[in-house]
Amino acid sequence: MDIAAPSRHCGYVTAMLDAKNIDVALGGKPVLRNARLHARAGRLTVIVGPNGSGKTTLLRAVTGDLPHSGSVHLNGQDTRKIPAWALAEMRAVLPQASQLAFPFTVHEVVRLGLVGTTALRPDAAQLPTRALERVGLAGYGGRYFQELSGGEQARAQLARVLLQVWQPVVDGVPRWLFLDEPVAALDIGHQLQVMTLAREFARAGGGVVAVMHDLNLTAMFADDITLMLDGQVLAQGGVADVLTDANLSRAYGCALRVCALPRANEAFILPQAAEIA
Amino acid sequence: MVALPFNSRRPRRPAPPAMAVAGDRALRARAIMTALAVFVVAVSILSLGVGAAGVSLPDVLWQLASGEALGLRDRVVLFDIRLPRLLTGLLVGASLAVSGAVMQGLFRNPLADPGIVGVGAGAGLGAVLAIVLGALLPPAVLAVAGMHLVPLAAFLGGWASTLILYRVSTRRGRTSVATMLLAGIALGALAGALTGILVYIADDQQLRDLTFWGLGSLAGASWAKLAAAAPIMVLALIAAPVLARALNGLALGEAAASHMGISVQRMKNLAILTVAGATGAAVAVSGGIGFIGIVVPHLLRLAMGPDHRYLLPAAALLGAGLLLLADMIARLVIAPAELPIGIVTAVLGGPVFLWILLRRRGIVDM
Repeated sequence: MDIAAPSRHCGYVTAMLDAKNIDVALGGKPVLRNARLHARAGRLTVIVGPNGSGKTTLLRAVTGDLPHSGSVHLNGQDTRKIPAWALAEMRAVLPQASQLAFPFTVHEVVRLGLVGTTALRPDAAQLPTRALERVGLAGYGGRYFQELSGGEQARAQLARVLLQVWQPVVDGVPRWLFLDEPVAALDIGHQLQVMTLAREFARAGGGVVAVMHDLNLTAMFADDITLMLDGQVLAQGGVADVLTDANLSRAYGCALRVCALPRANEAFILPQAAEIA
Repeated sequence: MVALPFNSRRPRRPAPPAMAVAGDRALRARAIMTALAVFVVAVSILSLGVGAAGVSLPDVLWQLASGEALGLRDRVVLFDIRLPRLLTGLLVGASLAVSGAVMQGLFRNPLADPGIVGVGAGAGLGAVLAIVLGALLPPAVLAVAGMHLVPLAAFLGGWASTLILYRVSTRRGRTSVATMLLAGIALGALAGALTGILVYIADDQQLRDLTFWGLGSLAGASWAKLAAAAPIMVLALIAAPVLARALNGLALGEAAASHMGISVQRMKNLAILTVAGATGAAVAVSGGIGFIGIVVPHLLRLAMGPDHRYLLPAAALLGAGLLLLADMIARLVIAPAELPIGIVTAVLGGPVFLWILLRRRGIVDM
């Protein structure tokens, strides 16, 4: 596993997320044991694994939502030593489910993502509208957030999070998107749209870490994959290294077979294929 | 490993854009705030001219303009009775409305109101404690606290009950509304019982003080009382706008707020202090005046949306204006006697509160 490679975009070895020895216990029961998450800016890193394997727990520990042992370094900085407002400049976090207490309009929700230097841009007033366009919600600004469907709410939240780190790289420093199941509530068209958006953010030099359920979308979009099982990292690395018959069958406890599209040699996973083989 | 610098200078926030974007209610909010400011000024002037003593404002102004000295009676009525009452009404109304809005933002629920969830009762207990048992304090403490003792005790009572309420009803960053309301009932009952014991042991003079205060009225307003309570209320009103961005973020939950760069714990502490200060001081000076804290923010959210950057100042304005209006009604309905203002706000606010509950049914899950 090559973890010390320098990023193309900035400096040397610091444009990355490095979370080590992460232990989390919920209600006295260990949920994560010695987990490690490593992600580089400029790449889309996906965390997969069966239900209850600790994917979301790992993401929430790394983003500081859960008390944990171990260390988390983002761009070479210990995240616990960065003040909240400076951390918000460096990274944005999309939660899995969102609640909203008061009747904000979609525009007002997205606007909450205008923080720090993004709010200082001369075109800041137009940015919420542009963020909504990017997630396919153009013209939704005037609607009440609570009146949207689940999938639309998820995309409106994504627009807010995107706005917070609008430029993937600022002064040579990459910014990060942490997405907890960003496509779980979406139809296939919007799944592709959101994943493409995440990939574009990474291609522009930013870092993206996403928790996913869909193995095919993962195979299609991920640059690196962390496969979790029982609160531990089962495998970490490139798509071809992690998405193997053995790894997946072990992680998910059922026979799975990784197939490849003949033309692009892209992996896809069909349960049916395991029966044929 | 070389650490990349994060921008160490905190960026300054520019003025929000004056653009008509769909869903952006900032322009409307500012128009409403302007109208409210005019409303408050108008009600203030009216309020100076209304009262049991027939002092007419135009006459007084005419006299002042023509260089005549005011009669002693006019001067006393205007400057020693109506002016402190006006200023007390403005501050109490603003404090009650703002602490309602802040508390609703903190608990992420439009039904949280200091009066309903026992904070008012806690502040009341503090005030009664100070009135009945204050004389038992060491003289040195009394000398320092002076006339600030009652507002200070009310503030501490409000602060303690807000803190207990938040601790009891919040688990892992999520506030349970059902728990909050039930805990509020329990706290209110407990504070009421303790207050009852104190009333039972109070002497005649203290009983008079308590009754006068407990009815909820601006009638006892004086420069001395105002001077004692105003600093706490003014501090709380100054602190409130600092909370606006945090309360907006909290609407999405504590985790989301912290990811937006908000120091959630610090802001929660400040919010609790603000609510306790504003409610406590208001209760100390005017007794139990209900419903301003729940009705005012609710009406404003309907009119201009829940953005706390506008909601908090607008609540201060509408709360101040409405309380003055209620005070005028209280003075006029059975003139020359007057109703306790708490009765007026309850008669007007109770039905509005019920209407809010009806409207909410089916829209937002409690």
